[in-house]
Amino acid sequence: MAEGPGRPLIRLTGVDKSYGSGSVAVHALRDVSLEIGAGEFVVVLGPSGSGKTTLMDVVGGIERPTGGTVEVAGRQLAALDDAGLTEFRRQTVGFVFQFFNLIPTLTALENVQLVAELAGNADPDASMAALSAVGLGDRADRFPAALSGGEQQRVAIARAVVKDPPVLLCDEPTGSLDLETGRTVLTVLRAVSSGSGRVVMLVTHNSAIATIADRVVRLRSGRVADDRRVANPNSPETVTW
Amino acid sequence: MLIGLTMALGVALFGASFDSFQNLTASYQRLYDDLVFADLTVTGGSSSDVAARLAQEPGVAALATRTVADVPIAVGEHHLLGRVVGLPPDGNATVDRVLVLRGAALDPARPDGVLVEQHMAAQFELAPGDQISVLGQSGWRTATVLGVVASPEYLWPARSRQEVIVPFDQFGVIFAAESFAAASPPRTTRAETLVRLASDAAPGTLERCASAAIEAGATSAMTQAEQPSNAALQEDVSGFGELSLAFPVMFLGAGALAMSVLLGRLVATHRAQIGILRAVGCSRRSILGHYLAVGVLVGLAASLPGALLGALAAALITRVYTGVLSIPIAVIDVRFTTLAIAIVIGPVAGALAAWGPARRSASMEPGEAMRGMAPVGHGGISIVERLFPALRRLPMRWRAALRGLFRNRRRSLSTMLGVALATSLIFVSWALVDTVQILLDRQFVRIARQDATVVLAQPVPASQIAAATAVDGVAASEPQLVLPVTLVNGPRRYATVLVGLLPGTTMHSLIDTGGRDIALEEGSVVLGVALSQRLALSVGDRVELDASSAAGQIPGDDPTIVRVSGFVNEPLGTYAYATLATSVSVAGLPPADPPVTEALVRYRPGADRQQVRDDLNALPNVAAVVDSRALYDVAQSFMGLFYAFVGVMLVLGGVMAFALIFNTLSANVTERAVELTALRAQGMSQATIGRLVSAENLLLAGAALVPGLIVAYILAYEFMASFSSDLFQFELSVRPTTFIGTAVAILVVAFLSGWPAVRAVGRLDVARVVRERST
Repeated sequence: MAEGPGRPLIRLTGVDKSYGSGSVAVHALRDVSLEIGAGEFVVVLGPSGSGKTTLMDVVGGIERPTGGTVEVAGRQLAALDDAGLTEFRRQTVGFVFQFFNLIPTLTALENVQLVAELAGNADPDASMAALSAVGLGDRADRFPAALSGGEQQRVAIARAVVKDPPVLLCDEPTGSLDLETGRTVLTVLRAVSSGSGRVVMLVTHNSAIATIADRVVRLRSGRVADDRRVANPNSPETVTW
Repeated sequence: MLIGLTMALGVALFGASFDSFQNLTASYQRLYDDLVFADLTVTGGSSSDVAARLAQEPGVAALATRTVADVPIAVGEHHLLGRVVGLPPDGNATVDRVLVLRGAALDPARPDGVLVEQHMAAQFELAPGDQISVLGQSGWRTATVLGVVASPEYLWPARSRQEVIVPFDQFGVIFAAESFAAASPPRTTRAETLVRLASDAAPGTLERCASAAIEAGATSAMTQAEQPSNAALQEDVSGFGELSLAFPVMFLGAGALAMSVLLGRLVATHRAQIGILRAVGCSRRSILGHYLAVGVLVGLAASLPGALLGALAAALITRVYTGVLSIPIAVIDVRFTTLAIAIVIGPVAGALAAWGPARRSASMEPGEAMRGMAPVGHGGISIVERLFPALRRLPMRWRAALRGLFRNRRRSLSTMLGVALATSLIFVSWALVDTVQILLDRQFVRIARQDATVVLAQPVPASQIAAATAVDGVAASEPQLVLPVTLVNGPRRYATVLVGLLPGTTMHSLIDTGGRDIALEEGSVVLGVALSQRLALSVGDRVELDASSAAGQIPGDDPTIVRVSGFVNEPLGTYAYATLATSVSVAGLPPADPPVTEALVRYRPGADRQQVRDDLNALPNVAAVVDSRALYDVAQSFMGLFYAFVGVMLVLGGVMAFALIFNTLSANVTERAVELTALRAQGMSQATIGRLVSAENLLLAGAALVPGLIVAYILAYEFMASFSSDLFQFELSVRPTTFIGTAVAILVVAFLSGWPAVRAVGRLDVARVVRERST
């Protein structure tokens, strides 16, 4: 297992996740142990059914493992009930999904502000700053229907980081975007991770994207097949798929 | 299921009310035909002259003359206002026959034998062989009950058009030989001529006969439609007819709205499949037909049980209604036309509901549809936020809830329309109760301020009325002169009662349409407001009072002409009021200390009403005591039916609103599942999401309430007005609490109907749903 810089912000020990039981049981994760330090940009790579999405869900507290322990930012997730997990996600985790999932009746700024208020930050300047950080300060008053796919995804990123979470989890963030737009989004993701001490875990099946990471964890059939640091990560602008 | 239930209710209510209307109409008609109910009842003049004149009119199938006397009747110790209707000695009338329910018909060999109308018989448990007393020319006469009968004139035992509601223990009708009726005190009798038209009488025959009767000396001619019992029953039955249209429109409309919302949502979720089908060659017509078929099938599934339920309910309603009112004939038919209409209206409503979504489905271009992402609209600041910019300072989650109303305007409007319908249903029925309650209080508390009306066997001078009614418990007593009159203004005539009161009377308030008190003026008359239109009269006009309608009652002179000094708005009946002196003049009585037969009495506060009434009844010259409170209690007893009706309407309205809002909210939540689970993933609690969803739901219901209450008020006003006539003045009166109660009921239903959707949000699999595309 590759060791990351700084103290482990995420620690998984012997994590299992199964769905169903008996002969129809599906083992999405098998005995996964992993440590990710603050500030790392980790790409979790694997084919469909490898368990990478489940891994992200377990770390993010939207799935409970069937075995093992998950500790994120010093908190044992198994000890949290549903309300506790909700609060954990509110304070500790930001999510970026493939299909943006913005609220169409709110502007870009308002979508960001909605989550900011959730985390107890009602200051609209913070939301504007998050939007500006993703290059959309001049699009704050646009509604999602008036934004391109890439712009919507950037709003989703701003929404995820406005509450300054220690952990940012991204599930196929470029999956529904073209190459050019995808590069832009990846650039933004790298930008919000560098220097912030924030862990970014990006789940994808696209091996080209793995070249921009500090570290690549490969999953196969629910197990960690490989875990190595990337010596010289590529710039997102050079990634091609 | 809820949509189907709402539509099934609409179909069932249509069938139930329409067939009940038909059944009751047929029941009355069969009874009227069997008993040869008069098409025209002519009063006054020489009945032989009138009959001879009418016999010349083509289209007249039968004629009869009779004497009718309004005299006190005593059953044991109990005295009541009575009516003696004259029949041929064998009881076999040619017009206005009676149906013997128990016992036997009149017997020429038994001149003292009488037939008792069924309501009176039931009230006093009279049976053949019992004896009653009837006031005659020479005092009380004993009569023997030969039989109990039903009469088409007294299916509802109304005393007159002015006194439609009379407690059964205070008014009763008996049928006796003509000679018995004619032997009543002269001032109490009137001559009547009864006319029955041929079934093929030419149009206009009725009007010609009425005119001919007046020309022959009659004072009034009352059609069958105007006959008090028939008029009261038809008012009631016509309500069924109106409901048979209103209910299906409301319920099927609401169901169709809900179905439209649901199908719209279904089409949105099927976009990708529709796109694929179109791409592989499926025609637009096939797609259209598919979704139309869904609507038709749901409508049919609702219609079939609804039609059956409606038919069963109609039979039950008819049976109960005729039983409660003692209608001796109950026609209960299964009308295949009604069944057919009932079965058809459901699918038709379903097809109409499905048309919009089906058209949208057929108009999709395959490429766009296969992408699966429905156009979510451009988004925008809501109109409410533009009007009230301060709302933009609301926390974001509440702004999201507010804007959610405008996200799918078609759906929101449909739901609001349905909620407005439900609001109308609840409000109109509640307003009906309010109106009746307020009008009853107005009639019996504010207007009629006497506790009882004492009817004397023999007239006494007006100045001695207090002495004539002096018993312990009576605090005040005033004379009253009641005189049948016909009001005439040119060709317009109206038969009513002239009530003569002391000027400045404390027993009766005369309140005009503006709510102001009117004082009686000598030489003038105050009329019921319905007469303003009927007789085309205004304040200051002059009207003719013809008191000669009762043959031999009063030695009257030519009709008196008086000035109209005002119009009163009284809920029950349409009377004419004048000072005692003016009434005495109309009646042709001696002006100084005129003889009167009625007294209005007020009890001492705290007096035992029953005891006072009994003491008054025991006075030697008292023929009957009409307790105002008893009348109020009878009217209140009908309120039980109203409350039951309102209760049913509340439930039905609640079901309708529940179905609509549940449907809409479910569609909303389904459409937004991905967004909502994304918020869950970001750390928004289920409780907060539930509050957002509920808030949007309540905002939607609340937004529908204002137009809903406005429309409901208008509907209630029109509904009440449709029942207004000279029998009843139903002016809509609604308590403020009714508005509040209706609003609360709708909001409570809105909250409850949203609960399943809120819980569904909590059960969403966040990990799965958050990765789905929005549809």
